[in-house]
Amino acid sequence: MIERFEYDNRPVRAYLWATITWGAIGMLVGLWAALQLVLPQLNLWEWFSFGRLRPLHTNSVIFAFVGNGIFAGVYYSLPRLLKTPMWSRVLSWTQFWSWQAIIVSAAITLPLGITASKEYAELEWPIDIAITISWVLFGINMFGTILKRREKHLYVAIWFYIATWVTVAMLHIVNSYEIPVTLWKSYSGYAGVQDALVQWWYGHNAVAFFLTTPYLGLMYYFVPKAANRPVYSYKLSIIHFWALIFIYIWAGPHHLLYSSLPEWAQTLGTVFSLMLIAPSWGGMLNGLLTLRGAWDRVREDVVLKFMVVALTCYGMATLEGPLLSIKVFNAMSHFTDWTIAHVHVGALGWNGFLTFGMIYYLVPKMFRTSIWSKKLANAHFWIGTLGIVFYTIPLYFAGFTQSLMWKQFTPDGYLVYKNFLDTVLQIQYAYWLRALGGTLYITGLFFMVYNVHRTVRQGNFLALEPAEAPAAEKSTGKESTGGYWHRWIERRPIQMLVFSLIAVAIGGLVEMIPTFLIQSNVPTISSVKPYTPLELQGRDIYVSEGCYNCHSQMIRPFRSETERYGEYSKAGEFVYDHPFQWGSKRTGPDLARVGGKYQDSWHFYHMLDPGKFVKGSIMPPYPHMFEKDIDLESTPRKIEVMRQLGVPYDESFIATANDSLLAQAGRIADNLAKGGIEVDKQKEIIAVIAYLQRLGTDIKVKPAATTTTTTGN
Amino acid sequence: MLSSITKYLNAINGIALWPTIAFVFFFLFFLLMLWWVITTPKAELEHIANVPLADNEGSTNMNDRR
Repeated sequence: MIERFEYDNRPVRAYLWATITWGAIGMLVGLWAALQLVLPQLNLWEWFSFGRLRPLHTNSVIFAFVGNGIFAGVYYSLPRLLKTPMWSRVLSWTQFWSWQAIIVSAAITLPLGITASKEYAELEWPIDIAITISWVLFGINMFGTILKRREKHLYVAIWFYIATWVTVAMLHIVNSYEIPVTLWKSYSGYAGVQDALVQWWYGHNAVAFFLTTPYLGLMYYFVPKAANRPVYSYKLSIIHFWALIFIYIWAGPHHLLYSSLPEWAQTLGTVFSLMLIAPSWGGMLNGLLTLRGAWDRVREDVVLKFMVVALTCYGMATLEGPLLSIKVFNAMSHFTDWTIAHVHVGALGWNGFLTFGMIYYLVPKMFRTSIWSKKLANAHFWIGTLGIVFYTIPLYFAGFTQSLMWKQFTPDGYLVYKNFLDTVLQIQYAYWLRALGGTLYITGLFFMVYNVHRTVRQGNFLALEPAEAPAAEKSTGKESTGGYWHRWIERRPIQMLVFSLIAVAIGGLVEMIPTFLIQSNVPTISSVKPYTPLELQGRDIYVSEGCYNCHSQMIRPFRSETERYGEYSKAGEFVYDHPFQWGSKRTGPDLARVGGKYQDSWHFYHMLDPGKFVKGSIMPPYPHMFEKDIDLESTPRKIEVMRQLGVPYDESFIATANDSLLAQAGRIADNLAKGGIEVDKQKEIIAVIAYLQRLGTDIKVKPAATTTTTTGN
Repeated sequence: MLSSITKYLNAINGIALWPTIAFVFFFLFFLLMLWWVITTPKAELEHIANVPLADNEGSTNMNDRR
């Protein structure tokens, strides 16, 4: 029996407009942040300093631009692949508006300095809960649709959607385990090494399961559609899927090579990262070879052009990623702009261009017209491609240059560039060129905005697209016979969900459980003590300003680093760090052992106006720290939460914490007064100075630090 | 909260073996999947591969109009 039904294009349209709008905003914020690195005076007010803008850029591009792109593509392709409308119209719209509300709240809270400081997971706990709810709504709608489908086979794109949903849910929940201190402040439930491991397990797999697998699903739908031929090899797509989700989840520790993470976990990350080349390239080739015999059309069709470059960039980024996971490359690339270049090959090339291809495909189709100007679309393609080239190549050179300068010694064994700033000033030209690349890319985006606007005006929107398909067959329960067990899974979406979850959960558990359980993985150091209340408040200001965006707190065991910064970092030094602050980029020097390196007065003047105090510095000024008072009311609650997390403060200390805070603040203010600086001891700057002066000093307390290995409780 | 969980999990002997066990499990799954891919009839795979194209929309290219 043939049934008639309609596909609802309205949510797809809404998601497309959201994709374009947030894409433009997110990229403009990125350009602004890029320009701040050459024109520090663009650090306007406390709300728009680099440390707060950069998370806004990354979050908006990942979750607002790509996020809405995923939903647009899924809400379009899923019903068509299953020959049924989306399960619930109400859920479609609730999810749409909840997701936009989350984005708006991120855009408000991040500039206000409300942040959990874990990269790409900066949003605070109330928003984390909202994300969970919105994501669950998406899942219910998706599985509702899958369950009432008329096409019994689940096409491979849908597998990618299922794996995306289940894995992102798991990553988000595990990484967001945090204890609220106030409505807009929480402490990570994990500390130090464990926090870093969980965070980069999340961070890496956010790339894998938010920026990659859903887009691979879209690729498996839109590339065959645009090329009007089936995917090159369906067999390969099956291998691609399982191999990718199995291997990806293990690779997170490659973000922490040469750090204080246990050696075995680092090796695990490297090995699995290298294995990733196979499925990644399998997927890329599968996409590109879909165009076999149709390459002449790539010359004509701008949708295919965007998709071919997207796949090529995917191939480049997924070859480079594993290479960067090899320790010898990582030693050079880590903490430099090389990483930024690598990421943008993926973001601008793979995600950006696939999204643009999808938009140029969908808009004319849903508005029953052709694109307003093919010429303008082609211009977008070329200016966008040039933008990627101008963005990435200078940053690769910046990365190489800075890394080589960090490691250069004189024949006598001294660092050639002792002053970190020399290595920053050397790469300013690259930052300018990168900003030019970004400008070109954004210009292309605005070409598209205008083109889409004119296309919409000349077209006629098809809100409900009529379709028909044979009614679904009743399951006889015999499908599993004949030994084709995979077909059995493939027809059972719930089982598919469970198997995907098992696949990704095992990888995560194997990585994390041992560090949580075997205490010997994190040797404790007896001289490492919890932060004083003043230092804790200072640390929270450090977190809120996003200092980790430019300063690492992780000295790797290289001579070039121990010479520059001091003794390399030990896992046991971070046991009270909720959250960890290792960072991933050194736009400024490492701060793991900055304590005691400078006088209090040096920090005072430096924080007030870094550019004036250290000529050429590109660090933003922080005048507001000199005006705002330390939030004394929050101190007892902060100590209490830290106690819950296992930091050994006495219970009686909660009540007297502020006395201790004020006493220490008084000592710092007195010390500053000796140098002729008059400052109220309750100002935030005092807490920041206290924190900075504490950093890395614990192991210096005794002449020889005692390292003890505790075995069990 | 975490400490109450880890207290019990701590008692597991030989937890360091987990990665090996997990790897063997994954590898076997992979072999099983390869075997399935090789033995599935071509016609069936072709049918699935054509699902995205089978929505009666015909050619979907913007070039077809201009």
